[in-house]
Amino acid sequence: MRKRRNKVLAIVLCGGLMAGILGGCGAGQEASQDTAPAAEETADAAKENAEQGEAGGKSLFLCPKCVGYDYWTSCETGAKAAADELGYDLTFNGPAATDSAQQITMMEDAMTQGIAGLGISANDADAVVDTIATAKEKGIYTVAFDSDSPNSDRDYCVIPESDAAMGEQLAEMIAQEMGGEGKLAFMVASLSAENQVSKFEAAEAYIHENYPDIEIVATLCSDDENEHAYENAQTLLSTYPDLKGILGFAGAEAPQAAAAVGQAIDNGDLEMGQICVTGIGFPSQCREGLKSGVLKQILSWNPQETGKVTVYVLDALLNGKTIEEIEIDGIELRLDGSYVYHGCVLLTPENVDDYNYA
Amino acid sequence: MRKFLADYIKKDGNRNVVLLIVYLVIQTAAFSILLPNFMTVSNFQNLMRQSAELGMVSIPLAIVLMTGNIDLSIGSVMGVCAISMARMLRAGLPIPAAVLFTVCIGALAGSLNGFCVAKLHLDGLVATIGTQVMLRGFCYILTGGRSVSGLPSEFTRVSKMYVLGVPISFLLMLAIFAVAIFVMQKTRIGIQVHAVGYNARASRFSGIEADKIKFRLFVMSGCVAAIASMFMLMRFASAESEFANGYDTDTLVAILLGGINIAGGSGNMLGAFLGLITVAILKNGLNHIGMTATYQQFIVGLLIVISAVRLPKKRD
Repeated sequence: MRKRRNKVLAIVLCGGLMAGILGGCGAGQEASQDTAPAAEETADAAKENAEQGEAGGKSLFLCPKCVGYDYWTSCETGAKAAADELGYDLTFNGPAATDSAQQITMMEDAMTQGIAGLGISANDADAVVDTIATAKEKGIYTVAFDSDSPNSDRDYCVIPESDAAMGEQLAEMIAQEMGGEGKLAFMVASLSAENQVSKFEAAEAYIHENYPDIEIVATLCSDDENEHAYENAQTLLSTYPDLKGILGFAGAEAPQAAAAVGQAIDNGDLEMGQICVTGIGFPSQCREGLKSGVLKQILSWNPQETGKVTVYVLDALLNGKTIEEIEIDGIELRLDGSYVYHGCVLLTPENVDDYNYA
Repeated sequence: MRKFLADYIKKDGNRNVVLLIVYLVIQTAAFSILLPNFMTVSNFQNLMRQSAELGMVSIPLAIVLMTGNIDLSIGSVMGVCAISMARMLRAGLPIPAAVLFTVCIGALAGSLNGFCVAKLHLDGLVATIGTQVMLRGFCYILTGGRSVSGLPSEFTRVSKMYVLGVPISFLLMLAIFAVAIFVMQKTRIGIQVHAVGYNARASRFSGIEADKIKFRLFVMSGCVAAIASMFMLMRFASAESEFANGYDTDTLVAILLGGINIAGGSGNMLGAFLGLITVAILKNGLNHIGMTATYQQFIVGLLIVISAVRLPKKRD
């Protein structure tokens, strides 16, 4: 009886595994099925690389900060489209939660399996330095996308715009809306993350320089949480009754501030247009604010473009082309050193419905 | 032989050992047929490097589980240890001193858990969820949100050292496992641990100092977490506030698959080891296939549920 029980269980377990493998094959791609593995010795790295080069000649691996979120799914859509156009096998896979250890594991596994190009959006920019160096040793090109790993040997970094330029553009947007004077509050996702600090410092400098009549009264941090951002906005409204502008530097800030301001308007505590709100945002979260009129414009970028450009840059590297030679419909690239900028999008009530990224 | 096998399987903890061995063979065979670069030396070296730290911390956790307790703070303890270690190295402390202090920090964190469970008699689940959150908070305080990097290469180099092609960290893990298997099966301490988990009240009446054992186990767990965190730090050469976050769950997954009874008492170390290897190979193979992490989680979870199923026993 007991033996039979075990047999049944064993069969069920194996069945589960086979289902998993088959499901995986269907979802993924059959990379280099016909190349026989023959790496007998690790010391023989050169030989192994040659083989992997052959096996991975048309395989790319892109590792986002995590998977399962709209933003990264949009990025994947763009990357997949580019891979189809250019004829690559693309695997787009990252950890289920932002985790450096898993990212490194996945990159190592991808390299063993044999890839020609690697894209990485590192959760910890310094933790991937070593892995990127390994990729370079194996002759694999690496592009940092969405988030840079500046201390690494990556070949290029693909981002929409430099942090400083974005900060200045945001400052100009809010200053225009405020008419060049009044009290302004900053809302940020982090007071220490490099991509946040460089944005709001650039904005601050730009305002001091060009709009001396604007006073920056507070900088509140939300830790990138929607609820926290909403509370921060409410705090600002009650603390500074004469506040004229709120500028958000990350995806959650401006839409949540708009929601708080909209609520205050509904309650009759504020008048429409009394407080200007703008910042960085994405269509799904900003649509409501833009339609209601609380938000007039939002600085955004299309993660689909980030994914797409990353694949095109890897393709250029693999084929010995320069970045200037890359041509993509509807995207204009700018090159600054090792940075490839694909540009921002200005969302307005009129155009927000035209964009289908998250 | 048949008789021996039948008897072996009858012990509850051994059932999973046999099942896992069968499953492991099938799984490995399937992957090596399907994936061209799976059966390579470099892939197995990767696998060993990646699973060594998880293996180390799963040892004390398995033993803690056998006493009917649980430790969910391992990931956070590793985080605090790694960040402290990184900061000490950055401050120019010699490596041996930093290693020593880091193990002390791990022991301290472990004794905090031990104090809550053995002295204050808090439920292990409550106490270690508390310390998990608390120590993770401490990680944020220690790093201030920025990652600590720029570690000396004499330190990070160790992660790339091999003995006969096997990474040092994996060898150390095997050694700890061997000791644990021996201690748990052949010594009095092992029997006492099982006894405490099987029936705490009865073990107290027979003169076993359960609280003392629990306290020591938590301290040991902290020390091993400290050692594991160092190897992970060598690999990454960088420590951020999220370092090893979620490691508690990953470890539990491996151990539960190995047939350790979460209610205490039964289970053996070999099972824990096999559980670890199974999950590591499964994830590695699925990575090679290109299956996304979200599906991988689903499959691993499914495996645990299936492995925990006990068909209704026929009453004797």
